Amino acid sequence: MAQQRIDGATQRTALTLQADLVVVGSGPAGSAVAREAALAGARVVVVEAGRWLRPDEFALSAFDSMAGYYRAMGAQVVLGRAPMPYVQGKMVGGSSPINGAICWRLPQDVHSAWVAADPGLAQALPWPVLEALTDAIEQRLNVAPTDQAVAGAKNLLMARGAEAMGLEHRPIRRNVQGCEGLGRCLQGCPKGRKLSVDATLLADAEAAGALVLSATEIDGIEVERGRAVAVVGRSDGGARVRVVARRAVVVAASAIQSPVLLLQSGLTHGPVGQNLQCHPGVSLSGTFAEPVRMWQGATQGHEVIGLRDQGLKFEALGFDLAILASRLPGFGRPFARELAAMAHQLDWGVAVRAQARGRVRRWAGRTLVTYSPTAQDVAQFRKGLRVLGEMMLAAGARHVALGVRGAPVRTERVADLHAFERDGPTSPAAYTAAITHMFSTCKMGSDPRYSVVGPDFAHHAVRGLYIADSSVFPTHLGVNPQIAITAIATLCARRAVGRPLDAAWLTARAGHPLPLESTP
Amino acid sequence: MPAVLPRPRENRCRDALLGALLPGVGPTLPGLGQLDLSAFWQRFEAAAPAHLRLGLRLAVVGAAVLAPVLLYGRTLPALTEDQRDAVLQRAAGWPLLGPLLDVAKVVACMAYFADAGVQSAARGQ
Ligand SMILES: Cc1cc2nc3c(=O)[nH]c(=O)nc-3n(C[C@H](O)[C@H](O)[C@H](O)COP(=O)(O)OP(=O)(O)OC[C@H]3O[C@@H](n4cnc5c(N)ncnc54)[C@H](O)[C@@H]3O)c2cc1C
Ligand code: SF4
Repeated sequence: MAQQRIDGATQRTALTLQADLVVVGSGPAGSAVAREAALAGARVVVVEAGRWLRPDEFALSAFDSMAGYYRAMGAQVVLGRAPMPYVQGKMVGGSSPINGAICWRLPQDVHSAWVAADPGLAQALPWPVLEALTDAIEQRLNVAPTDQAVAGAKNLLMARGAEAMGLEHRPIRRNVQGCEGLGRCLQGCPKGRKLSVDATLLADAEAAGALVLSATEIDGIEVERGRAVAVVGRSDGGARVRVVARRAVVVAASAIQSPVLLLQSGLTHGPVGQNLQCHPGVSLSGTFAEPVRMWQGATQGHEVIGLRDQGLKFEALGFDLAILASRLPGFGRPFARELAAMAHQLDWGVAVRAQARGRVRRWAGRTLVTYSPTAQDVAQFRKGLRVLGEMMLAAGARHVALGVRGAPVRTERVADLHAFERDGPTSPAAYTAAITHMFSTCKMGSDPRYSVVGPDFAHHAVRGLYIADSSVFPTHLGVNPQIAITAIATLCARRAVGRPLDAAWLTARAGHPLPLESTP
Repeated sequence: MPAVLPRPRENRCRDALLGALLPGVGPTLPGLGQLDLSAFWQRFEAAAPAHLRLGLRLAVVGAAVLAPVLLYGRTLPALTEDQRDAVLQRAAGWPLLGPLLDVAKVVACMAYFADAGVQSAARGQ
């Protein structure tokens, strides 16, 4: 069998590779593209800036994991009224090996809104085809509701709190197999129980002949006579690397790095880098009389979905002690007292489908991301925190801590939470928020004036150039995006290899026949 | 950032600040100041982006030099534990320094729980 992996860390001499399709990035988008293209018979080379990690290399502490395989140590920040981190993995598999394993299908209401705004997308993103692809992907990733035997207190208590408040809730559907509830998903599963895309979709691509060049950052797309012909970059070992693409260059480097790569390559057509949409998340901690040991149990195993139509989605959180500790109130001795009671503390979060629009730019050789939550978004933070607080008190917390500058440190009274929602700080800078879901910076659309790629994922101005990740999504989703990204990227791959979305193909992928009339 | 203090002095102030931020926790968990953080700092300097390193240095200058000099006429390493704690409680409410202390607190927590002994003691609670 031909060589399937090249480690850029040991690549010290110039390297040129040939492919039908070169894919930049190996996260959910890149892995899905590589799999589909390789299964269709294309010669695929995937180039990934990060390195391969084995399960036994995943660290226990937040610092070791972030310093080892998060981009910029997880400390990239958006500039704006409230500097907040936007967090991304940098390894083979992208953010998938260090994400919460939460799986959501593309919501039909979001798809309908996309199509209503741009009817050209109906043919390009056919709903029955997306559904069939999602079925197949979910099956491959073993997506299923969290096993309650490994849920742990943080998840079971959220169910209790939501139930008491009459809010719709459910165990989170996750892509794991034999999860032991070690609560280490965000540092990478040390037992390999998370079925992240490196272990599934990319493994399938490799089995079908794709080659993965890791530890190599692409810094340019070569365009000749209006056609993308190659990508160029540098390996961690210091070598110049060039991958020639006979058929297509597919950019799948994430909603931040994809526009960055286009801008670096001088491809400024359309609103590239604009329209950045996110789901900023804020969290609240609470103290329980009995030990709840937040670090035990499935990392994120329960969610409250009753207010999704209002742009709020609540999740139990599970992270390393360092992150839990940094969210507890106080400094010095009062903080030490909080830490001494850490086994009694829980943290739950709310992701907000925010109105704000940001922008990704290149300036003086650096990437700048600007993004400022609007007044309405801040009102959503307050509402989300109020609901979280009420839910935690209903679940039995003695008191809750809002973690908002300028608001009462802690309370055990629901009335205080309502007062906070009504009168709490209006400046986004008062809130400790973080972003892990980014979208729409190379929007797909029928009109080249307002979009970067067409409904066929092809760049409006450069032939042979495709974009596959959530940067093409017309809007954000309001739910966790990894599954929707893989389904939509699979469609991109099909376009890039020039094959139809026909029934035979779908049947082969979905593992069951589909009615012909449901396919375009 | 140009050096405000000679580097060894800045490092002493940094260690004093982080030690004050996270003093001993109950009988089983040591204070951050009792841990050997040399490996942590080496890795932090190599991996942390420039703005995070800058944020920490500004926090050190603000909370381990300016604030204690303003309040007690001496820098943080020269103060008693009670005085160090008092500096933190005051500085936490100051407009610019408060958010910088948050940055220092995140780094302190990262350093603390990067210690294998602390991790296992805390998880065993
Ligand atoms: C901590 C965390 C938790 C999350 N939890 C969930 C969750 O539970 N459920 C969910 O659905 N989503 C979750 N997400 C979001 C989800 O993981 C991302 O939306 C998804 O991984 C994005 O896929 P992607 O392929 O577009 O980008 P990424 O996953 O970011 O992958 C892009 C890859 O491209 C590489 N790359 C970038 N630029 C270049 C370049 N120039 N050259 C070569 N390679 C490059 C990067 O190193 C990276 O590996 C989480 C994210 C984070 C960070
Ligand atoms: S909860 Fe633990 S065992 Fe389960 S997938 Fe995450 S890290 Fe692995």
